[in-house]
Amino acid sequence: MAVAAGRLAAALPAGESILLDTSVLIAYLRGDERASAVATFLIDGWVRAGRNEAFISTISVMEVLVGPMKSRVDETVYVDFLQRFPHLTCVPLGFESAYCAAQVRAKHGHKPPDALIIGTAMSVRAAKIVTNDASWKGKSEIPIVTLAEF
Amino acid sequence: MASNIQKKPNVTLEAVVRKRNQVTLPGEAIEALGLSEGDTILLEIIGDSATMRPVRRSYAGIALNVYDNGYLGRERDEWQ
Repeated sequence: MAVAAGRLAAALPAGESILLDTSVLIAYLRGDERASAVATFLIDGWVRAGRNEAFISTISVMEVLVGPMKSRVDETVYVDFLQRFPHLTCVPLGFESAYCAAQVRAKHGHKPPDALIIGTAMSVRAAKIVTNDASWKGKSEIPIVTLAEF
Repeated sequence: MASNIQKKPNVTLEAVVRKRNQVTLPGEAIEALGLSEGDTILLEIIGDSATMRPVRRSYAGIALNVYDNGYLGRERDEWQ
């Protein structure tokens, strides 16, 4: 499937830091979702090259790893991805991310894991949040970019 | 433990440590691991032995049968 690279570049300008939601990581790792092509374009292309520094939440680490662990698949390669992929940084939960999560949960009614991921983005002052969950649109102080748009 | 990555037969290869800790990997190892110049390898030291694996350039599509369509929604719904 072709990726609308020009529109994606306009939504995620070079140099902007982004937070990747778990839904983006899973689309990338699965490779068979409608959003997989754009997730792969973004992660293997722009994140790997350092065009966009990417953050992930420790919540996403848990959510990604439950899959292989439940399926009794060796998780080593998943851990390598989460820990060693260039320009991809896992942000630990701390007071500031929890405080921000409380703000977005109070204002927008997000579920706790969604709020903690958005709160993490706020704590690192990410310019954009990239997700595959259209329900997040308009429910964050940080602009939401959904993969389905591209 | 099952894996969705195709298993290759086990082989043991030899390499010599030379001056300044330099080690040249046998060509068979380079080929088996799909390595090329500039690639990074990980050495995991376990007691007095070690395993070596390449850092992949891409992880796209490695989890084809690991996450079904409702996976993430179910994980998040369990919070409340």
